[in-house]
Amino acid sequence: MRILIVEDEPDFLHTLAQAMREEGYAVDEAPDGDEGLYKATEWNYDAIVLDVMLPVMDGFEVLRRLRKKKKTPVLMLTARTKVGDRIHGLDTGADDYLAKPVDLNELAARVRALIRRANGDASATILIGDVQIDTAAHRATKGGEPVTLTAREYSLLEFLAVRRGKIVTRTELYEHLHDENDTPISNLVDVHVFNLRKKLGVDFIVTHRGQGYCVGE
Amino acid sequence: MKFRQSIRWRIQVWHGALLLVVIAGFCATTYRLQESNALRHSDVALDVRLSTLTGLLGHHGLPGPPPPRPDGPPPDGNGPPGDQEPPPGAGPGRPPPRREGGPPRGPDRGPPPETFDAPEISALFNSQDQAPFYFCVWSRGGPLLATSGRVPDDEWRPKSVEKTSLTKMTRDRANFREMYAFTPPGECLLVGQSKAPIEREMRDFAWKLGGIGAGVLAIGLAGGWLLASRAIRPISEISAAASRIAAGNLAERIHTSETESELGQLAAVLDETFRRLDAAFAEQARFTSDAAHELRTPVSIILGQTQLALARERSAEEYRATIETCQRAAKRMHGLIESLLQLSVLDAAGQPLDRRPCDLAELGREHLEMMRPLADEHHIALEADLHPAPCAADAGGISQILVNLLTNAVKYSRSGDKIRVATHRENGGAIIRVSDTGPGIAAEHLPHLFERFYRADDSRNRTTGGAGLGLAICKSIAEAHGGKLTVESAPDAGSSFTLRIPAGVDSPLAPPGELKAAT
Repeated sequence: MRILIVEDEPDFLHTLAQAMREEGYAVDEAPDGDEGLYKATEWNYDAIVLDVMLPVMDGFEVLRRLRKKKKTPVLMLTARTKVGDRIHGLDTGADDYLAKPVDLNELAARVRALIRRANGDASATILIGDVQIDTAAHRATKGGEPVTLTAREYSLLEFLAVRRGKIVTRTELYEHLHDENDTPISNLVDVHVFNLRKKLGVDFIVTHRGQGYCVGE
Repeated sequence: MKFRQSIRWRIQVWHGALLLVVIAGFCATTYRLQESNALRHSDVALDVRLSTLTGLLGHHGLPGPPPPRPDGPPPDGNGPPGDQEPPPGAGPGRPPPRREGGPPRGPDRGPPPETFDAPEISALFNSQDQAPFYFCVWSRGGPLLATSGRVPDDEWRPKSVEKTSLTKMTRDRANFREMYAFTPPGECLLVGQSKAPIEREMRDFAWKLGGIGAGVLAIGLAGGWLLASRAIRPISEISAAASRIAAGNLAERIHTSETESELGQLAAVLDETFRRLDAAFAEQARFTSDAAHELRTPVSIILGQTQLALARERSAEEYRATIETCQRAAKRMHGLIESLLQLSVLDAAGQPLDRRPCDLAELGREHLEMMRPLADEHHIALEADLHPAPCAADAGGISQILVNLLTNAVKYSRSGDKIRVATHRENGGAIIRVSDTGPGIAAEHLPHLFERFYRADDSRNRTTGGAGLGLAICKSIAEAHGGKLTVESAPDAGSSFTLRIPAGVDSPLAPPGELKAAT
């Protein structure tokens, strides 16, 4: 999953980004509204964390312009806890709201929930065959037995699992599993798919030649 | 508010008292006039009768006085004896005329019946009258010669006067009004009438007058109450509106229909007071909220960093990075708190400034030199145009202003721009001006530039740091000196900040300071 964090306070941006990376997300950063809007329109993020008080263009404006083009789930972040601000934010098209100072665990949980809902899931647990994926705990079990996965492997699995039944292209995988600063090697995805098949069963991930991968058909 | 202390009540009491006095005076006067009028009427009637009687007697002649009977006073029981027979020596200078003409009783009585039975007389002294008239005639000596009917039992002869002419005199005796006269020979004629009808009439009149007076008073009181209520109503409205505003929404205003009157002025004054209170509260609320917001960001950083660091085992490097980030946040909070404290001290205005003689030119030179490395780094030229500008000022405060202005100038100037510091005297005060050829400030920001937490350019504030308190503090310091900090700027025309410090005459510390400097 790849998310964008738009926050003008460098230290706070860094803190948020680090926290979300440790949650297994590929994280892009933007220090102001202008850059935030540019990135948000250029890429298909799974979620965006957007600060309200931004230089150049404030969070509301970024959201208003973004909503003309995209439905990316957006969590607004602000120091202002006024109800009016929250209502305005939600009415402008925000999907959730969180007031500073934020609890990083809560932020992670809310982002998780946003992504889940955006993909039409109500539960944090996804069951495909005998493979169960707990998106909150970042764990997978096969037939009740825990499966040890690397962070990348888990991210790939989760991304495919939330889009189960759909074909996910390699480009999509690259885009969603790496942030802007990564220089992914093109066959790295194949390596992760190979490893996942080894751990979860060869037939778990189906390759559609020339199109992409799919799970849970 | 107690009812008895209300203005309406007081107006009513005064109004009522005044009304009562006026009505009572009016009634008393009317009553007196009416009474004297009635008496005059009575007197006229008496006069007519007395004249008639006198004429009749003059025509027919009085019954001749009986021969003197020197053997004692008559046993006259009709009058007080003192009047007829004063004790010897009681009336000095008064001749005892009746002694020689003492009226004998019995045979002297009984004037000729035809005289007093004349039709004029009986017409005048008709006993069928509501207030019948009566008459008495006394002889010169004192004995009663004739009477009409209905004479009161205690009737007595008036005292004779020296000049016994036909002068008519009146007297009020008991319940009777009487008029009498003396004929030249000395007979006394008296006509009288009971005052009972007049008194009855006056009593009725008094009742009527009282009733009318009470009615007028009641109407007056009611009218007064109504008028007072009308006059007071706007006050009540204003008071109610003011209470409502004071209790709740300060943004509300008193709306009164009285725009031109004294009450309208009162409402306007109250409205203005409320407006200022409202603005002060709003400013205070905004300030608090801004301060909280500014503090919240570093707190967020510290909380997030520590939460992240404690989530799992980290390397020493990671811990170090976390601590460094936390330190930066803490320093920012420290700076903010220091600024807030300084502002609150300046706001309190109780803190006396440490004003000493100093020269703004010297301070300007020092700070230009301090700023030079930073300016060189940004390729910004520094210029000085320093003329002596002595003044009494708190050098620390002035330094803070200069550092702030120069730092801002360097921050906002572009490579190749110039910053110029100029000082000179003006009107006994001193002026220092920091101007730059930078990008300038948009007109919409200028009025707010010195407001707390105001940032002209949001896009730069985070990289340039600061919470937007710097210029607000500078302005407060300038004002604490009795001076002014002003700005002139236009986009692409640079900015120019001017600090004016007035002559330190208002500062009691200035002369001793100068003395100290001289020694």
